[in-house]
Amino acid sequence: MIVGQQKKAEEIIKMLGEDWDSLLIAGCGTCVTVSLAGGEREVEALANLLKIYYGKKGKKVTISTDTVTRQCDFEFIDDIGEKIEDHDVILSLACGVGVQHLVERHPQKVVFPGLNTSFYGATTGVGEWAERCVGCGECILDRFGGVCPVARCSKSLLNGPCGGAQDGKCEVDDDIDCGWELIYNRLKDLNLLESLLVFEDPKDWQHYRDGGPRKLINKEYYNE
Amino acid sequence: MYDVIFIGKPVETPSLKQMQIDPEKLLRCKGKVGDFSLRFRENGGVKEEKTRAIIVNTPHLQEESLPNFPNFSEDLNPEGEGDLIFIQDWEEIASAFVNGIGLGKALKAAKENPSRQIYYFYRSLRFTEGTDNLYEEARRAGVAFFRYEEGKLKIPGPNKISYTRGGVSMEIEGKIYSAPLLKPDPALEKLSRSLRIIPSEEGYLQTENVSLAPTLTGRRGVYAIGGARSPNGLAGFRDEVEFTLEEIETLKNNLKPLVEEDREVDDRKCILCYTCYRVCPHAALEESTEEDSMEVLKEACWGCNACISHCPAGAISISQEEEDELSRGLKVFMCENSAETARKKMPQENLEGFISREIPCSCSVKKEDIYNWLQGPEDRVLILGCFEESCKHLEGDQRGQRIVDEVNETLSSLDLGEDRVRFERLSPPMEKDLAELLNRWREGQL
Amino acid sequence: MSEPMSLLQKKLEAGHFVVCSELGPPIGANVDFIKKKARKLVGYVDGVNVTDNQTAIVRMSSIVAAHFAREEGLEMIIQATTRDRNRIGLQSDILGASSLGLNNVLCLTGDHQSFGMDPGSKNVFDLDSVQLIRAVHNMVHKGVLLNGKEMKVPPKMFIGAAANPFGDPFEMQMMKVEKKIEAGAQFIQTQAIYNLDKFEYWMEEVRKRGIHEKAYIMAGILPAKSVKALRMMKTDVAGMDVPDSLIERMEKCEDPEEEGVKVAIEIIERVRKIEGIRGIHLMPVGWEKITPEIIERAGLYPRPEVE
Repeated sequence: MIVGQQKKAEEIIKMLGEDWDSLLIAGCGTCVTVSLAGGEREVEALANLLKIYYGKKGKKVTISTDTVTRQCDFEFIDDIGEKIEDHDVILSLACGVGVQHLVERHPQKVVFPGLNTSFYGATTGVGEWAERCVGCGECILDRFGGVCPVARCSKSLLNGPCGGAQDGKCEVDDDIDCGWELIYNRLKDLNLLESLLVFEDPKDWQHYRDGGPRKLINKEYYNE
Repeated sequence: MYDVIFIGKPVETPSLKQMQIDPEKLLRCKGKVGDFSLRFRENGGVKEEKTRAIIVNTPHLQEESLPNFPNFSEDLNPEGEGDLIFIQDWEEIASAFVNGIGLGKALKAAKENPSRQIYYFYRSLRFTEGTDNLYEEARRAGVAFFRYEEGKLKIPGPNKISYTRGGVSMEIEGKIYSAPLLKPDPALEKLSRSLRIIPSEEGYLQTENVSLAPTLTGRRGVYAIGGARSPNGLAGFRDEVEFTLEEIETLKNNLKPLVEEDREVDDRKCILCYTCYRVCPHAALEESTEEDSMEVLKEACWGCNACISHCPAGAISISQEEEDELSRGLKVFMCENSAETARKKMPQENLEGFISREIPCSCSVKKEDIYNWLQGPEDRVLILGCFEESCKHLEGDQRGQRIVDEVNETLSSLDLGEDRVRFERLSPPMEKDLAELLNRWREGQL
Repeated sequence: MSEPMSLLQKKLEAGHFVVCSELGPPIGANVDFIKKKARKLVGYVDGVNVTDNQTAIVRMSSIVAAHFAREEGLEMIIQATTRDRNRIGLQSDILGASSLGLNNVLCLTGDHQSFGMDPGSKNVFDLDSVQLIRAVHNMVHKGVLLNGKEMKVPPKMFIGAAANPFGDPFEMQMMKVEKKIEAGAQFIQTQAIYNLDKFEYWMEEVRKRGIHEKAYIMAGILPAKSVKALRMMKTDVAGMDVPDSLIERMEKCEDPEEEGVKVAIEIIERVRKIEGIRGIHLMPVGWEKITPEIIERAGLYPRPEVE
C-alpha cells in the first residue's frame, strides 16, 4: 500500500496561509488510514489542533472534517462534493494521488496536501512501515529470490552489492539492511546462488517514470 | 474441547481433560479464554484442537555465570582438602530458585565435608518458603556467608578470590562453584508471537507485573509456568501449578467477562488495518468470521481501551457510552488501577478546581480529545498512569506517555504553550503524592 | 589478445610489477594545481588514477583533470562512476576521453551521495559498474554502443574495475569480481588494504577461482599520516577494514608520518609476495607528496620503460 506521513502542523499552517474563513480537512479511509497518517482520527486530531491555534490567534474560522473511503476514486469524492464546494479551502490528508484527484474533480477549489506521500511499503511493526517496491513497471523479483534490488539497494544495483556493504548493513546508514545481503542469503538458502553470476542487462526504465507519466489500460474494461 | 492444552511439558491434572503440544509444532492460536482453537503440526499434517485454557511449560536453559567454573549442580566432593567457595549473583542477582539451590548445595557440602571450610558469597539472598530454614541450617552447619557489592569480589586465579567490604579485605583459596544464570527457552520467542503474548524483557512469557498474579499472562486463559514464566517461577513451582489449575477450574465452571460494557467495532468503519489487533495487550481482537471487520472478543477483553484510542478509522467504541463534554479548566484523568485508587483515600478537597475523570488505562486517551480539552487558553490536562512494572495492560503507561509526548511536541512547535499536558505515574498507596501533585499542578509548578 | 590499448596495459603484459597512484582534482578550476601535482609524479608511477567526484564531493571533472596531468607526461587512468551520469553521459565521456589520449578507465559504482556535501541530490545509477564495464567493453572491442549503434572509430580503453576484499557478503563480492571480469574488466584495483590476513585469504579465493589469470590485480595501499586519519577511515569510509592493532601502533609511535610510511612499505612488501598481485595502487589521500618517497623506499624506483 501507499505509506504516508502527516506534514508537521507548522508547515500545514504556513501552507494554508490567511486567505480563507472555512477549511475542510478531508481524510482518506484506505492506505493512509492504515499508515496512521490521514484517516478519520488523524483528521479529527488535526482539526482540533488547528482550532486551538486559530483560537489563540483570534482568527475566526470554521473547520469541518470528513473522511471518504478513497480519494483516488471520483465516486467517493462525490460523497462529499457539496461540502467541498461549501468551504474556501480543502486540506487533503490523502496521498498525492488523492490530492490531485480532488483538484481534478473540483478545479475551482484550492486543495492543499496535508501529507508527504512516502513510499509503497509494508507494515513491519506496530507503527513501522518499510519500502518494498518503487513501482518500476517491470518486475524482476523472479531473478532475485523475491527481494527487489531496485527498491532495497540504495544504488539499485542489479549485478551485485557495492563494496560499501559491511555486516549486512548499507553504506548509507547502519539502519538500512543491505538489499544485496538479503538477496544473497535468500538465493543461498534456495540453492540458487549460481544464478547471480548471470549478467543482468541494464534495465529498461521506460516502464518507470523515465517514460513520462504513466497510464494503464485494461482492454477488457476500457471504453474508448 | 479440552480443559487445558499444555504447550511443552504437561503436569498431572486429575479433574481436567488435557492434551499436549510440542512448542515448535504450534502454528497459531485463535479465539479466547474458554474457547481457544490451536493449530499445530502433527504427523506431517495440520491439526486443530479446541481448549478452554492453555498452559505453557518450557524448560529453563542454564548458562554458566562464570565460565570455567563448575556450577552448583556439580561434584561437591572434589579431591584434596581445600575449602569450597560458592558464588552467587556474579553477573546478575540470581532468582529465588537458584538462590534455593545454592543454599541447599552449600548445606549439603558442609555436611559431607566437615573438614573443609565452606564460603558462600552473595549479593542478595531471596527467601521463599523452604529456603529461609535452609539458610539457618547452613549457618548452623558452619557455612560462612558474605555479602559482596558488585565489583568488590574478584577472582585473581582459578582457585582464588579476593574480597573487600568496608575495612575488611581478604583472600581465600578453594574450589569455586558459581550459580548458573537461567535463560529462557528460545522456543518462547516464537511462542510469544503465535500466542500473542507480550514477553518480559528477558523473553519469558510472564512479565512479573505486580498487577498480574503469578502464571497469568497478558492473554486471559493462557498461563506460563516453570521455565516459561521466569526464573522465579521455579522456586514455588508446585504452588503455582496448583493455583493455575484452580483458576482453570473456575474458568471452566464460571467464565464471566472481566468488564461490563462491550467494546464494539463498527463494521462499516473498520478497514481491517489490524492496528487494534497489534496494539491490544490482551489479544482480544480478531477478524470476525461473520462481518467484514474486526471484533472484540468479550471474554478476552480487559477493558483498557487501547483499541479505541489507537483505531485510525475511529471504528471502535463502548456501547451506549455518551459523549462526555468537558467544560474548560484543569482536567485530570486518573487510571483506575493506580491514581484513582489513591484518589479515593485522599481528602477530596485536593480535587477542588479540577474536572476529573476515571479512565481504564492511561493509554485510553485519544490525541484528538486532548486537543479538544485544550481549546481554552487556561485549559491544561494531567494524565495519571501506572508505573511501568505495574501497568495491568503491560504497555499501557508507555503508550499513554507517548501520546502525551507527541501532543506536547506539536503544541510546542506551534507556540501553543509548553507542558500543557502532563503525564505522571502513581501507584495505589500514593494518595499523599497525588494530593501534592494535584496542588502543584494547580499552581502550575509541576 | 588484441593490441594493447595503453602504455599501462603494455607494461602489465610485459610482466612488470606496476605502480599506480592517484590524483584528486581540485574543488575549483585551478589547472596549475593539477599540473604541479602531476610533475612531482613523473617517473615514479606507471599510471595515475584521477578520481571522479570522490566521496560524492563536487570536483573538477576526472577527464579534464586527467587531460592536464597527461600533458605533463603521465599515463592516466580516468575514473567513471555510475552515480552521476546515465548511460548516455557515460558513453559520451568514454568517447571524449579516448579522443584525448586517455586510454585507461576504472569503472565504478561510486559512493552514495549521502557521503558528500550534497546528500539532497538525486542519484542516477542507471547502470551499475558491471553494466558500465560491459558497455565500455562492447564500445572498444565490438565497436558498438549500448543501443547497438555501430561506430566507425571506436574508442580505445584498457578497462579496469574495483574490488573490495573487505566487503560483505564475502562470497557475493567474489562473484561480483568474476562478473566484472566476465563483462570485460582487464585490471582490478582493490580497496585500501590494512588487514593483510583477510586480504591474503581473499587472494587465496581469487586464485582458487582463477581470477588472477584473467585480470591484473593491483593491491590498494593508502598511507596514513596520523591516527586521526586511520580512525576516520575505520568509521567514516565505506567498506574499510582497519585493525585496532594498527591504530594502537600509530598511537604509540613518536613520529606518525614516518610510521605511516613504514606501515605502507611493510604492506607493499607483503603484497608483492602474494601470487597473483601484479602491481600496487597508491592512494595517498590528502598526502600526495609522499608518493615518491614511498616508491623509492619500497625499492620500486626507477620505473621500467616499454616500447
